[in-house]
Amino acid sequence: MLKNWRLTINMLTPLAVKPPALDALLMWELSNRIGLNRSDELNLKNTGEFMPEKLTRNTPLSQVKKCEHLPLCKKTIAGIDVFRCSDPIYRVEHEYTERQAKRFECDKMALMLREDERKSLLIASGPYKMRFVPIRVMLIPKVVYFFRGDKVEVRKLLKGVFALGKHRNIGYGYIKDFEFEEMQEDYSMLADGCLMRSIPFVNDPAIKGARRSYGACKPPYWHPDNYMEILEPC
Amino acid sequence: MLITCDRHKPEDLKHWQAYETCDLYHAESKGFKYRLDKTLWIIKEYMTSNRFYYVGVSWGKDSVVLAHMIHTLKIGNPLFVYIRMLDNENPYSVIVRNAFLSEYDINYKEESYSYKNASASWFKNGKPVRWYQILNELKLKHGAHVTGIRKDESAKRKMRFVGHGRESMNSFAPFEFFTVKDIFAYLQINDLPIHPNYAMIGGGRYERDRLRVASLGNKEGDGIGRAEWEKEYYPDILRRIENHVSY
Repeated sequence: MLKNWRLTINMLTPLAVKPPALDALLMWELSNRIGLNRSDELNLKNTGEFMPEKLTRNTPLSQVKKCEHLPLCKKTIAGIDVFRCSDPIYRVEHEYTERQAKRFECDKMALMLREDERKSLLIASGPYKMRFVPIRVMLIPKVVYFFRGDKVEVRKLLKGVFALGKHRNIGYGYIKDFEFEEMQEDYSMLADGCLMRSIPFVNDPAIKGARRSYGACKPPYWHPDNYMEILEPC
Repeated sequence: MLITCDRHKPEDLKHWQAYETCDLYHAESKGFKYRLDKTLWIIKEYMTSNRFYYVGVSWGKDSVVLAHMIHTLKIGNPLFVYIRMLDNENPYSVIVRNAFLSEYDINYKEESYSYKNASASWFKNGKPVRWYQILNELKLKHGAHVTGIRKDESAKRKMRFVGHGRESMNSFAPFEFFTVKDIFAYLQINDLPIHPNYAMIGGGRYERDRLRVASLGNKEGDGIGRAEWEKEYYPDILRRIENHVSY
């Protein structure tokens, strides 16, 4: 049933970079389930039948299969359909930088080998590339989203989501649990006149707490084909 | 005088205030005064030796200090040149330029440059050949390039000073002894315009000393967290660059 909901995600571990938008998260999960993501296990099992290329920035969105049937309501603003869900709302308790490091001491390791057994190892690129990458880490107790849509379907999709943010494979952004709470008011787009999510640019002075920017207002947010003049919350 | 903008977060400005206090303390130290006198003497000696030169400025912290020092010495009428990268220039550099030029009357010139007109060949460091052509043209027209690079910036810069000294046929770098702390202290005591980039420190996560004002989204100089810093503070401009939309 389509209602207004508040989704609270309680976090277990610190989150790397920043939490995703709810529509992006649901679309990612849905695309995994229907086999649009090459890295998906289900897709890898059926290699003979369906093996599309993983979507990258260089692939035009017009050439890929659409995956827009999310259990969220939509609103058309300036001719663009945007999902009715707010940006992530969170309070940062502490913010710091950690480093993801990988280093091979080739000179010292080579000394352990006999001279005729020594081989060259490429450390400038490839799997053995040396890294010392800074990661922005935030200590966030919970992330809140407001949305208008079908709670049951959203819950089904979120069952497969175990972590948020970047570097989930090394322990960042693990989720403790999800809480759904029904709301009377619809805070998915605007809350008392304040903008709650990125929308296409409209010259409306009634919208408060917004600034003009350039980016995407619908998933996939990272794809250049979706970039346009937008209003984003500030 | 920090030039503030809407990209600054409240915690950035809070940290900046603490930095300002530290800079004012540092400006009272004997070491700072000694290094300042020495640097002014180095610049004066170079300027009075009838050399053929121009001063390159980028409107970062070192450039502003260098421009102010040369202007206050009032020896001759040196030419100040700013090479603008039109495609991906930092949007606040021109604000610093305007603030400086409104206070100080200098012989100033700009060379505009666009990647659209760049030569098809590129150097390994990501800079197009045209960039070096401009520097070469300037050298032929105006002489040696007086630059604000410092010895304490990096090991590479240190090697430059050790190998070539302050002065070579093509360039002159007077900040052999002036450190990054001295630069910020000098900016504070002279109330010079400070580029907003230096206060975009992620609430203390980024070192102020390592931040640069170079054009955005460049291939070169994206290490030591620079790429991550750009993504955090200039995401919209990076997207515009990616989609070739002017800003």
